[in-house]
Amino acid sequence: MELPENEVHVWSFNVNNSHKNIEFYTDCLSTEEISKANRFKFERDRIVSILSRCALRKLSSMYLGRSADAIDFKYGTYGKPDLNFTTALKFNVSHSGKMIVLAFAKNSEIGVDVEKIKTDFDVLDLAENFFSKDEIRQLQMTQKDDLFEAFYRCWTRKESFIKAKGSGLSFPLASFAVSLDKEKPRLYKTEWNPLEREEWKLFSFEPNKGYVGALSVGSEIQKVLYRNWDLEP
Amino acid sequence: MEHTVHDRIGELSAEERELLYFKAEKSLSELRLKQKTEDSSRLVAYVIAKNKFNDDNLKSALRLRLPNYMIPSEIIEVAEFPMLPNGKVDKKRLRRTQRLQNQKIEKLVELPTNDTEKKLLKIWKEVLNVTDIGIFDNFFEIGGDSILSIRVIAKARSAGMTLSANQLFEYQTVSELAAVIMNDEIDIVSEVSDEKFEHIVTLNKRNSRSPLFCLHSGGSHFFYYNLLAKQLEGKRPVYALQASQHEGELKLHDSVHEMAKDFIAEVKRAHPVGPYHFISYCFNTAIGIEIVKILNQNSDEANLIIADTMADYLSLFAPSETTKRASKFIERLKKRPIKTISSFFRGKLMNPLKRKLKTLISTGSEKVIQKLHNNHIKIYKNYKWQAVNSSIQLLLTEERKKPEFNQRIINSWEEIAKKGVEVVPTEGHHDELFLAPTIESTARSIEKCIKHFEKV
Repeated sequence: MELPENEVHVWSFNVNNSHKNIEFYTDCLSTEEISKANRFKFERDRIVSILSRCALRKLSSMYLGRSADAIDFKYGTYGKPDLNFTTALKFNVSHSGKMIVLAFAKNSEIGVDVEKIKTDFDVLDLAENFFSKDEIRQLQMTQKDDLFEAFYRCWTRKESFIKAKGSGLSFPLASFAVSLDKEKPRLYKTEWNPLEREEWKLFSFEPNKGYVGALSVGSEIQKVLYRNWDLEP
Repeated sequence: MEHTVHDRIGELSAEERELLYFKAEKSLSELRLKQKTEDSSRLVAYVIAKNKFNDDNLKSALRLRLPNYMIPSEIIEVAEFPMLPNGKVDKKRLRRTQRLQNQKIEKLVELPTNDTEKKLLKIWKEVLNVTDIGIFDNFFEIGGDSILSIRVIAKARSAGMTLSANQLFEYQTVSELAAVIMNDEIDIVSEVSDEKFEHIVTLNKRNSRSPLFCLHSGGSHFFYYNLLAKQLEGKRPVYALQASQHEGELKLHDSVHEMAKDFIAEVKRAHPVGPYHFISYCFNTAIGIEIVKILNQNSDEANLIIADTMADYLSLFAPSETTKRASKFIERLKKRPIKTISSFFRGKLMNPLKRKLKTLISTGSEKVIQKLHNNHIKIYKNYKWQAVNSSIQLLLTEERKKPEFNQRIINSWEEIAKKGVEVVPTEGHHDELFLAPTIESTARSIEKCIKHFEKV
């Protein structure tokens, strides 16, 4: 499958009732991945773990033109997975609720985050605890009926950026700022190096109703293609 | 630029055909599986046990070894297997066998053992929206993720527990997290203060974590770091390193190298094994880099955190750097070096400090402090700044008149620390980094540095 340089493919799929066929998907996985999935206490988490890994293997195999079980992963310092052989292909995976999102690019660092919108917490309190001053200010000015979505736009943009950098949450959340604006996702400020914000592009998307997604990639990326992969007929 | 998945391509591309094929393959496999498991939709295990066991524990143990579909949905303990005359197990009779009366079937959930665990578990249950979890369950194995982790931290904070954003990533069970919170009660070992030290001053309770040594600042007293030590109380032991005690005969070192050697000897006496962390700023950055250089040469793990200070500060006033305004300063510096620099810094450091800590000054006359301070400047001036084979961490604040000055600070350290400079942003004005309320964020930044150093 073709993936031009300067382009990102974002695949989303809904877990739905796939658990009925979980054995099939489990077959795609390595023993290590199976035991990783089995460490989850609740079935819903085991299912998502198996499905997202299977989808990652399947899609990577299509981009790479090699079979899904010939794909091998390695993990960065903070656990970011990467392909364990020389290739331009980069990917990142995220899931929340029933949605799994996988993003692929060539020669560009990439981070993706999806969140199911929940409304059972104090948005401003959370923001004031962890976000940067800029972001808190933007959130305080947000209309009440857009507050939760704005919060999730902010969070997914931040999380996707941290993931693109390959850092864990040990990365200080308040040391950089993103826009909360629906139409213009961007990196405002990177305190450790004021110029770094120029090196990244941010995108927001809606993988499904009630979900918010964001993508961080190198600034050379020109185009993002969103695709829906329905596992169930 | 909001996108939705609905603007997908209409025609059937090669990759979509491939995915369709994948689906067909899947349907086939389902069919095979269906035939295979038609009359056995549930897997039941019958076991004879030597010792008492717990269903859930057995299942989790099996999960580590077996694929999911081989995990029994029910485990029934029996006294014996009914046998057929041919020596095989009689499955029909087995199915009718009753489970042993005393088999424990209630879920075993590890209950909290103290108040902190109780509070934390309650928060976890609320945030994760689950009920049957215990204190040994791993947050990320029961549905936890990044965003839920910060929700837990925020709730814990408002319940009075101090936790940093990434601590849930480090301590992933209620039990471990509670231990960190209660740490100061648990880990205290003997106090260093019983021993006789000339340079080390213990500033908070000692525990088993890696120690932080604060190089005392030119011209001030070690209690400059008291607030920092208080912030880190329970998290790690904090000591001040001072050139000399203020009572008795003053120890005035001849060089930065001599002072560094003296400090290291006591550091190793207090904590024979690293990693060691040092925090340093202003004139003691020279001693800081010298200490770390020596420790690194001896393969000791040592980390230098520089608080918002330029390396080789006085080179700023070298002729090539001078502007007209600075040249007067240089003239004065040439004539009366110590007095000039002292007064230059007194305004920046001593005065704000004195105002805040006036009541704390109880030992050491100002004259003694001044003498030690002057000696600091003297040996700093004579220090030969050279590249060292170490890395440093640099706390930088942007709250200064010229934020672009930060790049010069970074550059100055890149010249010295050949293994790299890690910049960690921190809040507040330079002069107030160690004063309330800025000290709270400074302490957080310092902890961040330490954690990061120990991870790398």
